[in-house]
Amino acid sequence: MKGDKAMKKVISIISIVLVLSLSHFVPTYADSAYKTVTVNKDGNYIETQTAYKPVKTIEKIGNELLSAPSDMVIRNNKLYIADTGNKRIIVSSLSGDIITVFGNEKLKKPTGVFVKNNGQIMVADCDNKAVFTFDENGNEISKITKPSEPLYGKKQDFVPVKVSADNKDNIYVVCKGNGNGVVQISEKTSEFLGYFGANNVSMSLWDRFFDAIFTDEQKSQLKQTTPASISNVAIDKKGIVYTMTDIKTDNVIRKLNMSGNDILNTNISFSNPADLCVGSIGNIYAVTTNGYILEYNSEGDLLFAFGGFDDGSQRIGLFSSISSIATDNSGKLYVLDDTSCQIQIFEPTEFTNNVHTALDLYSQGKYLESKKPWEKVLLMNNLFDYAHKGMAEAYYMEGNYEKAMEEFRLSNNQYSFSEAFTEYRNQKIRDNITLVLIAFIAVIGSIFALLKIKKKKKVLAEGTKEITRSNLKNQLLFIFDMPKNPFDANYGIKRENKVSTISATILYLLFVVIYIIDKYCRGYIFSGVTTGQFYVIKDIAVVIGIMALFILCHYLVCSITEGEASLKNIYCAVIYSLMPYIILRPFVIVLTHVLTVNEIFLINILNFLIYVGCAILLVIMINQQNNYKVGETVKCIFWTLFSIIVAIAVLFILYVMAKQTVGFVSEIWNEVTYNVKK
Amino acid sequence: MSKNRFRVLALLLALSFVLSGCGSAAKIEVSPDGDMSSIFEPSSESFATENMDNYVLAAKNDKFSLYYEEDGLTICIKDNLSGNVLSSCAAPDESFSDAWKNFVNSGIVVEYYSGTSTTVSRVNMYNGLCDKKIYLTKNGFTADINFKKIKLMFKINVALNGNSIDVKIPSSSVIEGTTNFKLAAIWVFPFLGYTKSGDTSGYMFIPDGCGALIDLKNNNGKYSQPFKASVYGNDYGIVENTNPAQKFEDEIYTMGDTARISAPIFGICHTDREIGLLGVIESGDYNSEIYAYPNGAITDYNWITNRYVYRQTYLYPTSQTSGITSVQKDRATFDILVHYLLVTGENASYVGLAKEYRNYLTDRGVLNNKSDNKSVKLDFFAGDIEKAVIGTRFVSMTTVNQIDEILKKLSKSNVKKALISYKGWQKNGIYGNITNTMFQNGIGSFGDFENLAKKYTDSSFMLYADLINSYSENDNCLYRYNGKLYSFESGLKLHQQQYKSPNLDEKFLKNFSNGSVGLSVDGVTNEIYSSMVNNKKDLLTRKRFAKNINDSLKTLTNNTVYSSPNAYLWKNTKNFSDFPLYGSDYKFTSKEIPFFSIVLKGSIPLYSEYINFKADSREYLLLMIESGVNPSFLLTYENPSKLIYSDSDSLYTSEFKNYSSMIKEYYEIFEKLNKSVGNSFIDSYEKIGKISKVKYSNGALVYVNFGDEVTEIDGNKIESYSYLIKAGGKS
Repeated sequence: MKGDKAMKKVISIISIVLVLSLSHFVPTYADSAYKTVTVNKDGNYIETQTAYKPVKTIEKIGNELLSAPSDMVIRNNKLYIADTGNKRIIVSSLSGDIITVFGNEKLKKPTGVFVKNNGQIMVADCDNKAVFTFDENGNEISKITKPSEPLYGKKQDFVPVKVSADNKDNIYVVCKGNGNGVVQISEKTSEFLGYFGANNVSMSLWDRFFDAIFTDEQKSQLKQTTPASISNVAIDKKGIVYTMTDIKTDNVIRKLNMSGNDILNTNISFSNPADLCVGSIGNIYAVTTNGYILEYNSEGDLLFAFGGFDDGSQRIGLFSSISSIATDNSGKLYVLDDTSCQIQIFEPTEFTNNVHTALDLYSQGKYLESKKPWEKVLLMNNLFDYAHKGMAEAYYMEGNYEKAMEEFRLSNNQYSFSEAFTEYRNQKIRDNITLVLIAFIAVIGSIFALLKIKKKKKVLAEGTKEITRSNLKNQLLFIFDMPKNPFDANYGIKRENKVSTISATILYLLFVVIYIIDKYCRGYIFSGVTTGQFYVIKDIAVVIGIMALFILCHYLVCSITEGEASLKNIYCAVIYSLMPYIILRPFVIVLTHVLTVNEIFLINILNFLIYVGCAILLVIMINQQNNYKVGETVKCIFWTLFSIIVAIAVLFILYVMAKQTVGFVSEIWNEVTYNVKK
Repeated sequence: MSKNRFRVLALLLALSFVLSGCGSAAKIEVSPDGDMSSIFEPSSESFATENMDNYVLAAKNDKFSLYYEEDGLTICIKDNLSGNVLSSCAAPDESFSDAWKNFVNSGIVVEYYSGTSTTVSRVNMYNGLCDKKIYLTKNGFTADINFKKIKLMFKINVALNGNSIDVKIPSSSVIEGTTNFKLAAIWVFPFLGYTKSGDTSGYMFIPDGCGALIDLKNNNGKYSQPFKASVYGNDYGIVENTNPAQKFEDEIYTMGDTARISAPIFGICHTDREIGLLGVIESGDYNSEIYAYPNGAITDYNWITNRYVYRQTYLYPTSQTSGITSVQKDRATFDILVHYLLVTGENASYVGLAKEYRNYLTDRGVLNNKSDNKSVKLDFFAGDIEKAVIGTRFVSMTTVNQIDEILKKLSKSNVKKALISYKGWQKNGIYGNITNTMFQNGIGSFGDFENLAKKYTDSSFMLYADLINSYSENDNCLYRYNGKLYSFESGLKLHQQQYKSPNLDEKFLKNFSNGSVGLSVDGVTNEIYSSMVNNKKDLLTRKRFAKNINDSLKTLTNNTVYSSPNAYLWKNTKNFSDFPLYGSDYKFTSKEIPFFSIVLKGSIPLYSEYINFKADSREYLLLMIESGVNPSFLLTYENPSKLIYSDSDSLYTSEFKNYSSMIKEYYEIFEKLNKSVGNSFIDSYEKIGKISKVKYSNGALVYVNFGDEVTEIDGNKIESYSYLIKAGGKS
């Protein structure tokens, strides 16, 4: 009976975990079908208030229904849509009233549309393999086909899918299957100007290795490491070109300068890219094929993401698939769904308007003027971390370094925090220069005094020649003898019982404590962990596990290769050899609180001393404890490392097998109980 | 005398011979009590609609007539005054699939599981080998139905009472003759009130959130899926949550939940023919699903109805990723009792339907005129836990003393009467376990809070408790129908989420029956699940669950607040918080309407969701004024950025000093509104362009302008995005 109950408990513990998102605390269902997310300072997605709300759905233009429309652009308050399935271009007002329709006779598959400054409409038709230019009434003016220049590439086909033009009316054509970049064509002469903005190929280490050893013939049979092709291009009012790839890469959207280099501060990367457009303040809007709309600021930081896939619930704001996005002068977003053939119009909320105002000033460098708008944003959302960054820059400009530091910390900007801290520190030193000088003199003075006392003690000790008993205190202090003469120290551990397991254990514990403090309590500028995330038990287990593994493996290897060390010796000697870490690390921790990024070399020097010191001492330890020759020491080190790797692999396999067995047994048990219950 | 009787009997005999000669499987007999007044001569009272010729009169009163026909057992209701008709029989189309062909002209459709299959099959009146025995009764008819194909028998009673058609199928009459066919669900008069495509102007009403309308106009096939929702939410104690919750970039959930159906009602209005109905499910509501099909979804018809579910499929998990799907062995035992409330004339609108529902609830004593409308609700958040180097530490956001300080400041700005609630007071903060009234260390004590209540006598003080969610290991957890614990991924970093077993702790509740502190209840007021109790042997149905909750909460004599309660709790609801002002934004709904405000305003004080998290505070303010719903704020003394490492990190704005002026402003607006409106009901509601005009039964008028232009109406000028409140008695 009891066993039954226990079994039942076990089974109930191994229960199905329903994936359900219920945030009972903050009710969010009523406002919209979708939640809006932003990125917090740690790079995680968090929810924020609605950034854009749906205001209107355009289901048909006049009486015309769209069919698989793949592109859309707004110019002069008119909507130009490439109605691909119906082989035409539709021009409509911003509220869905029809203005004109053209292209039926000429176009075969128009997938890209753009309107030049002079009102002429360019259409990329991939089945006609041409870019047409029409006037406002739909009459064809010109037609661009495959460039004849040899630079273009004789074998390269010309399949235009998207088209755009900059202020000087240079035409940019995105061609399918052309990995060389965007095709640039002069407006006046229609000649091919060159390729622009090709994506980089990122080769992994394996790729480079194979690239080096394979012959050309073999390489041609492998998957081509061609760069991801550009699927879309947008040009803002300043003439900057933005490109978008068709698959998820590290740089899905790039903002290119004249020489084709990406000038975004932060890499933009997301899945299923479909289209992009640029807003009036330089912010970048992107849409994904599975229904999401993203807004980035002009530097590439994600501001908002919202939307979602319509799984049949038919709620406004969800999409079957998105093909295009456009924005008008008032900041409204027009999103084109090519499966339901509708255009959903979104309007920015009060919160978003505040963010845009602040961002506009901030991106122009007007940090002080942006302070008030940022304060408004923070009022509505205390956790909008980008606002903290804006406030921090404003405070820095004002000279309020203490507040700037606080805000930089809230926006997780270690580098800028360091700069503010430098100023703050300088300020503090200048303000308290006398105190600093006194403290400095006191420190120097006390060091001298200590040294003198030590000298006296040494003289005294030599005089009395006391037999120093091997008590715990001396054993612990023996750690200072290690660096003075490691060879003698090792001999002392091996033969003279200068240390004991107790002292070694105390030092191990000290090591673990210093490791934890080092990990979580470093100064903010050099901290490597996310604040507020503590995994202390895990860290302790990892440290102890690695050290135990090393000691055991080393002992095993030693005993096989006729080393003289006993387990106790190794146990004690290892921790004494790690003495540089124990002594010097606390200094590093203290220094991280007072130094800035510019003085990082000090910390690096100390770290170097620690690591190299430990390594040297460990090698000497292996050599001395086992009484090896040099060659044997090297062999022993290699075998130790190898056996550690093997041990980890074995443990991992055992773990996986155990998990599978448990899963299998519980599955069978569940089936049996189910059939019995029936 | 006897001669008359003889004549009548002879007539009857003749009738029965004639009709039995028709050879159909239906028999018409006099009801066993032999009431003579129920005998009508069919030839003079037969009725024809466009789809059905042989409707027979079953009952008639001064307002309506009820007809039925035997072939499909569909009914038809006629407004005596205008002659307009609501029918439940549409014309079948050969192009329909088998499942739908005779669905549209059958009064009763039964779904069943055959053998060991887990998919439902359908039978209707035409293909189920159905035997019907129809008896006329005093005000309607009773039919004994026998589906010989699946060996299912039951009795249905349809009666015309005043302006309501009452349909009953008692559970005791449902007899399943074989275990080979298991009853899954029954549709009763699904097409009642239907219209074809855009032939009739009007709308269907679904109780989605605040209430939404589906226009009856021709949609040109735009909408291919119907609206479907379970009354009171899905029963996750039995079924699985099959909605694939989407994650953005695989990291965070982004779908908002759809609004819950909190009242078992649905309706349809033919506005041009001035006739409509509101279906109110009195019994069988816990097992109902509401369906609304706009034209284009499967058929060309617009229809709205509910489906009574007797058995569901459930998943018995055998591993983390797979399981066995099976059908419940025993069927749910509940009586079906639904009232179709009829409206005509100018009441054939959603406002008319709302008023009908209000009358229905008042007649049953559910809405008693309660007073004590406070103009603002303030929820104070005590704190949550975050990870410390070892273990966790409590982050204090508002202590009892800080509440005192805030209230002092507010009363200086004349905000004196508020509904105050304290959240997260228990040990370990908002997600901690509640077993008694012990406060978390460092924020004060229950005694201190009581003293606060005694100090500010104009305000009402409560402690907040979510009585269904448990965020820590607890023995007392809910077991689902498949015997497993109901726990799921809550998205919280430091807590797991489970449902507590549905027995409220009486000892804990006693604390709120004396003294001055009330209880603000959440969780059990809006979530309801079946569970296995008594060592997982017995199924505690949702109906029982609701009754237990109602009985336990009734004992609280102090003031209480129910968060978004379902309709079965409205009788004891002293304050209704988290009142919905939006729907779920479905594409096929044309309008969202303040249906439930018209029903409840004046009877129960209503409070909104937290204003902090609304992106457009101005629009939300206008919605609150339009619906007469008082504002509600979530406040902390400290800045919420202190909570970023806790599980309450989505609380992005709540610091009191940022809200003190907004609270004062809103308090003044709603004091004025509450003074003008008092406890009167909403008499009429009109939307003229972008202006809403609300008229109360005491004469008060509220105009709200949702547009961005100054508009003049009834001689009053209303600013853009603004409102105008006129007290009662004045014109």
